[in-house]
Amino acid sequence: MNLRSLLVLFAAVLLFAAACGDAEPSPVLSCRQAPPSTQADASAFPVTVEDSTGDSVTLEAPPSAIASLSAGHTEILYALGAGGQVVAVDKTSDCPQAVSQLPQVDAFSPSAEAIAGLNADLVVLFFGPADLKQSLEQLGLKVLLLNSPESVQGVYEQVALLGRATGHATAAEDLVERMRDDIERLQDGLPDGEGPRVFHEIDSTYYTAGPGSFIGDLYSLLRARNIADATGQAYPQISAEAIIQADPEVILLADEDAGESPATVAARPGWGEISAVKNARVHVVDPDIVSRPGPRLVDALQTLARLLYPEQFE
Amino acid sequence: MNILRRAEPLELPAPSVDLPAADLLALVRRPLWPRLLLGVAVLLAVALVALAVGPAGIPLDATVRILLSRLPGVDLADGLPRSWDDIIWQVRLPRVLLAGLVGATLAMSGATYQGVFRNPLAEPYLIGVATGAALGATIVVVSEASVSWHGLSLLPLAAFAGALSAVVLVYSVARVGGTVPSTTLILAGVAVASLFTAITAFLMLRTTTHTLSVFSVVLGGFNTASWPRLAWTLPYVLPATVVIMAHGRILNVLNLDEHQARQVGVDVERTKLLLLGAASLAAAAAVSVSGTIGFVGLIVPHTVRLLWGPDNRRLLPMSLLLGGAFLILADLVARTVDQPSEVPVGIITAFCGVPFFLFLLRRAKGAVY
Repeated sequence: MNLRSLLVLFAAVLLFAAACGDAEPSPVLSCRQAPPSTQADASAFPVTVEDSTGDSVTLEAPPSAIASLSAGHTEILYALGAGGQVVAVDKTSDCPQAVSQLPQVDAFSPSAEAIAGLNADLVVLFFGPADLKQSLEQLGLKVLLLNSPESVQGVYEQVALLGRATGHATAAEDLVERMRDDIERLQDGLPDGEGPRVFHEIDSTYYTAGPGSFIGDLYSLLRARNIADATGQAYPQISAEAIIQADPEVILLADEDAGESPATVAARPGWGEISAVKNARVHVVDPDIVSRPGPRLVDALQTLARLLYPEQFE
Repeated sequence: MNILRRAEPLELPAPSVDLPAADLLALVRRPLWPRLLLGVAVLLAVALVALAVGPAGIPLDATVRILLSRLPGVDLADGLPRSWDDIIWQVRLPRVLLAGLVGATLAMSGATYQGVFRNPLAEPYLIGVATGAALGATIVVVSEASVSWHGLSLLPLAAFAGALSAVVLVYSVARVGGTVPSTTLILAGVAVASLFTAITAFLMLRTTTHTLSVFSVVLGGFNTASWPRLAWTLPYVLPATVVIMAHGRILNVLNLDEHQARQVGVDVERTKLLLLGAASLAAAAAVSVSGTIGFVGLIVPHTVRLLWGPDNRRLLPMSLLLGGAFLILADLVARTVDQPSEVPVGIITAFCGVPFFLFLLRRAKGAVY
């Protein structure tokens, strides 16, 4: 390689880096680099919060050993600076990467014994199979059962709640404000009027996300017309012919790991006349990112906005 | 499966045994053709209605024009959206045909199982077809293997392989020398089904992302029906149908008494093996493209028996026709009752089929049954 091509390459790298820096506001939570932990503010304690079951949980002091049993809650805790208080996570928690060093439990078939053995002083659950919460409380643990939020607003509320419960209330306010600002800025950049018709596929038998689901809320924030809105259900299975008739302009595949791709969609019987297929607007999205109710929902919205409104982001 | 375990008399006498000889003769002599024609007419009528109705809301005259325009020299589909042609020909027609084929297959297999086992609780999933298919499909879903193989979706192939391995396993476990005692076969089937269900549940718990795909297989449905799927089932279903239909008379003899059957020269073990093999193969092919749809294989043959008596020569073809019509109708309800959402067809078959069956059962109390 001669000097000239090296220089060209160097310039290209610089340009690329500059372009990335311009387009992307620094992310709320970087997975590669865990945000620094900050000291919990003990002055507000004892604190009483109400979880999704309506139970009031009183914490006498900031928890110092949190078991976070969902990926979304883990990300919220780290983004708040409470990462230092987290001692265990569930198996789906993969961001920030530092959590891979922590002990892991299975959130879908959890064992009260395994969780009790973590010596946590606060357990955060996102669903409660078979009276798990009661069993843990009988063992003397503080438990917050926070159902998976069904909207961005629901994520804000859980951020605020976790901020108060962990002694990071101010950071929580800042985080929510920052997320609101980022989303508002993103919305301001969208074209006026209604967006494209979209079909979000979460399974190869055409299960999708509709109104009342977290994913559905992301699309309505982006002003896209989700064809699943007609069903009025959060996670409906739509008839193949109803999809063809609705003629989505964009199809987003969250089921790549089930083998679906733009090519397999184009090969489906009768799908060839769908606008999204004809205009090559069938895209793969990472299901973990678009369905994870945490601080990275801002990234998810940006990713979706790029796919829905490519002309705005050229 | 639990019902089976609770049922004490595993080998109930066939209903026909209680009939006075004169009644039996009268039943046998009544001609088959009128009923067969009625069955065909019902099946065709249901299929046409199912073809004309759907969530896309295509007007009836447009549907007729689209269908007729495929005839040579007829061109009526001008000015209609291309997508409507796709919906009718690529989505709705294969779906209706596949539902009919699967319903017919399950009902015929169910009637065969009930005859061979001389047990009214027998159904096509008795010796492992359903749980085997579910396990095969789950393994593919969970392993994230590439989904197609020579252009065919891997999922039905895996379900088919799973169903057949379950049947072979059950059969080889239950074999005692040259014979396969029915009770042992049923017990082995229940045991293997429990084991396979446990493995499926375990795999489902291990993967949290693919539960919907496994769910679709377990509940069954026709939302991804296509011509290739139809073509893939036919080579198994057609020969099995021919074999089973040819054995109506021998099944009648088997139903009376295996000893008696041997005395009149029927090779009981070979016949049982042949019939069970054909019924299982057809049911496996059906389940591999539709998922495990319940109730059809149990309720349709019994309905036919309640309406027209237990003679297998009528029971088998009538089950075939009415099973097809019933599942087409159930699938029509499944895709229209909450449109544009789908309701799993297994829920519809239970919801509509069971009350009707209970009504028949109540009406027939004290009579033939």
